[in-house]
Amino acid sequence: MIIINYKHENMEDYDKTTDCEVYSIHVKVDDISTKAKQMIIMIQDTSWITELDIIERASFDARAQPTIDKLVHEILSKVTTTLSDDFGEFLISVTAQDSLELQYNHTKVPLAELFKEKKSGNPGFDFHTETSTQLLAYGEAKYSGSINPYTKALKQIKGFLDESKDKMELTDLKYFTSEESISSALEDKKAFVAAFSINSENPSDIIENALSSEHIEDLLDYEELYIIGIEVDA
Amino acid sequence: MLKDILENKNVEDYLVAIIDRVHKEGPVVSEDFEVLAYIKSFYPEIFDEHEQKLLSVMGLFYKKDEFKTVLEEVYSIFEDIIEEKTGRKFTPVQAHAYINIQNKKYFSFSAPTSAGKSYLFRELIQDVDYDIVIVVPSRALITEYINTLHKLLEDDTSVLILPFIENINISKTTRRIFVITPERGVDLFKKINEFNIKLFLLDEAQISEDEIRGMKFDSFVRRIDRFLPDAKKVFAHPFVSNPNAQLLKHGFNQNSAFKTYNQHSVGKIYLSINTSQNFQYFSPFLSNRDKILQDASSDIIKILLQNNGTLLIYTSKKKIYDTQYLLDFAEYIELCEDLTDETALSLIEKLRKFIGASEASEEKHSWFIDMMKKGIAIHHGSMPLTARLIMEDFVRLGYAKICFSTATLLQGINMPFDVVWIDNFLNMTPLNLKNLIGRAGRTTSDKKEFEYGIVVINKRNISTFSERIAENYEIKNTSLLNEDISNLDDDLKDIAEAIQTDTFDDELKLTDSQVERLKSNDIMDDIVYILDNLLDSNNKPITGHEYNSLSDHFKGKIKTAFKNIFIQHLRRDTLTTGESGVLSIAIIIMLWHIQGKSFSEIISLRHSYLTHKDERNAIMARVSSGELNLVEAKEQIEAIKVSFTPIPEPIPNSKLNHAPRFARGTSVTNIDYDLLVYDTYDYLDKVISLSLADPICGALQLYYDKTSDNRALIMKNYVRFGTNSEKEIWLLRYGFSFEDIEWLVEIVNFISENEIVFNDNIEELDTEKLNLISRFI
Repeated sequence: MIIINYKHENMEDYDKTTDCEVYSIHVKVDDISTKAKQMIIMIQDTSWITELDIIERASFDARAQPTIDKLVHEILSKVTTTLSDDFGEFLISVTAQDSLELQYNHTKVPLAELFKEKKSGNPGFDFHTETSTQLLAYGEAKYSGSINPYTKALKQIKGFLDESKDKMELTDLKYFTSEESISSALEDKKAFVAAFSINSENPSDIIENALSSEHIEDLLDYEELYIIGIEVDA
Repeated sequence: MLKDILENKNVEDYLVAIIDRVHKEGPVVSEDFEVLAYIKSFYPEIFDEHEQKLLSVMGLFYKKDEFKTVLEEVYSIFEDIIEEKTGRKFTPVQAHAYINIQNKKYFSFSAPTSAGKSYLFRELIQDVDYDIVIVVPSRALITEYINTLHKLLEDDTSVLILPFIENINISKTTRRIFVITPERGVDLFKKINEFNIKLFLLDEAQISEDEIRGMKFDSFVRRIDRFLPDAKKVFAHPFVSNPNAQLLKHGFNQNSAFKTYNQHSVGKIYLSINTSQNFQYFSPFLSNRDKILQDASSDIIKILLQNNGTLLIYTSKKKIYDTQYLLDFAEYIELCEDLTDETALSLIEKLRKFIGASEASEEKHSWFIDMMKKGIAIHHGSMPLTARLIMEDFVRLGYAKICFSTATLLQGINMPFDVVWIDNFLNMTPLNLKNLIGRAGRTTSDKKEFEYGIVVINKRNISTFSERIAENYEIKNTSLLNEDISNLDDDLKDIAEAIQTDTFDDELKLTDSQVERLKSNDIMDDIVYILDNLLDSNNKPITGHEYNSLSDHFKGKIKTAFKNIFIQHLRRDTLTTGESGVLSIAIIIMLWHIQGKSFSEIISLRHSYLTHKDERNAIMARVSSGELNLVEAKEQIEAIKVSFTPIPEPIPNSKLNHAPRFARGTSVTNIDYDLLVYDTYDYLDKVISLSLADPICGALQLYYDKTSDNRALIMKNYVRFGTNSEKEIWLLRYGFSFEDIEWLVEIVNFISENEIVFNDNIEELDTEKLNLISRFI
């Protein structure tokens, strides 16, 4: 992962007046294979079958390689399959978390629900972090092999807010974050992250487009907002 | 959660959350498998979206053929590793058990009904090169195992599969699988060095909790461990929360492991029915106030039946015996149309011939044969074993739309149904209940989908049902062998003491104290009387005709002689009226058995006797001679009552009452033929085989040892086998049934412990007979 650019935005540049602190990050992912392995190991670690203790880690690792190769291949060939959607979203989520940790000192909340069906089920946000200012950050990740789905990400966050999904998730989140961030969240003080893949010759244009988007406006009522554009590269 | 689902709220969220939980914890939360069944039933489109993922996280790999998501991909890695490690397409549970059995000397586990234990055992048995002993509690289970093994090892006739311990077919055998009850286990120790046994599979090992059988089981376990300390011992149970108890009680703590598997593989929907025949969905997992969910369509079961669903009705033997079940479930029975399939009809015909019932509604008319013709099976413990097997084939081949059954089916017979309807809640233990519920919902590898079953109970039983379903079933950490037996019933003390003190005579199958009593000179005259009067000058048993022509005085003396021998082996010197009654009838049936009568012949003889056939014939003769007209004859015959015959029960049993099998005053024209069939089988099985054969054969052997009177050994063979022909006895020892001996004798040139040599006549046998002997050709 390489951070190409990051910026504490002045929203007046986009003709928006707000107290919300807005940050943007432009990242390029080049360690897809590591991420694919990370996703697979994460599923393995949480499965009841691993608990049964009949599968040795070494034989799992050896057996997992063809699957890792398959995931990498699907992402790089930009096809749209259930598999590439699944992995793509994971890739966006973890890259966003990693960038926030690296650049803005966020603390990551483990990805628990990564395999949940998002297309129709909409159970909730894709990932979470805790900001250095002790706020809970709710993240939405959107992957595509052909377009730049920032609108989808922003609209989804708004949709979840309307359904109060953020409040419903607090019960589970309290095990992973500070008390302070939870009490802030209860007072409606929180952060949001819109992370999306970039498939464009001019990535910085895409990030600017996201910042000028009308769908960002509702999110500016909160404390912090992060716009993360992610390029997927070999 | 269920209320929301029924109101179509957040259905998909719940489904996704359950898949997540199954992924992390395994398919172990019963409530989840109820919710999954509802979602699949009410919202099939939503379910369909996630179904493959669910099957993956459940570990039901045999139901999967493609992997779409990353999650499924990871589970397919698990699947591959399991296959690589075990060489089989096991579920994680099967793999875990398999690996433990491979690696440990002692392994005790419990698994729910549909966990695929049979498949695991089949795989364990298939490709080893040593001998195996499988111990199960019932003869029905023995037969089930033997049938499965025959199919499994169809192509390898060098594997000897036997339902008892014998060293036979030696020259053609490479290895052996014995499937036995704990009682038959004693025969092992005489021959143990002739075999190469390295694995004991003790299935349904909760038999260790039975009073006497439990002691026999535990004693068998200790003896095999003493004789063959290096052989593996595997204990399997359904729904037992502490399988470790089997290891603790025998001190099997080195190189041992245990595990309770709670993984579900099918969903369940629970329905209640009230006295007005209205169905309601309910959940046994919710608090009392919320248990009832909503009304269900009154046609729910009917629609299922019409769509080729199958229904198991768990009912009482009483309801089957008095045909009440026909009325209670008339509307469902009515939906079943007559079968036309040829295989089905040939099975029915085979069964009809076996019990000797008439073809149409004549005097030997059988209800259960009628019912089978409509695809309705009946299954209970007093049904003759051969009949039960035909019935089980009938069910297994998919001809039974409805099966009425009692607790016998719970002894582990592997027959799942779409609906299990519990109509009888009497003596329902939590273990029986779980076993029964476990039959609802089939898991088949040909259906690549999540399957669920429906359980129906009477509404008044909802709270008991819910309590028992939640109860744990624990077995004791100590063996009955180490417990005080002074509280046991007097009739059981002999055997209990002998097992505890290891003073059981394996050869005679009697306790040392019983053997001592049978050595008494008091019964010498009785034995001599039997030998003198029941064997003719050629040492053949007298024919039925000859026996009948004896005066009542002599017949009475023969019966008294047998009775005296039986009493002599007991701790007491008298029998109660109840015991005497059962013994008298049993002796008559035993005499027919000695004369080599087949099951249907014995029934026919009893039918004639109980319905006073001679008297009826005499009346009809008077019609022929013009003395009576038909109307008068009919009146006179209807006035004849069925003779008294007591309900058969094992003896000794001092609490036995003298209850009649056919209600007093039943006209001979109304005798229930099915009941006569069940009753006769109970006499042969529960009374003669289980209670009389051992003491009588023991007395004859002891008499021979003392006098060298060869007639005693001949008579012993007749009592034990119904024949004294060496060839026929060998055939029985090879496991063939008495019913088949007649044609087998014709095709066998030579038979010994080494092999059977058949003659050319086998070329003319039909397929069924050929199948029966194919393993020995």
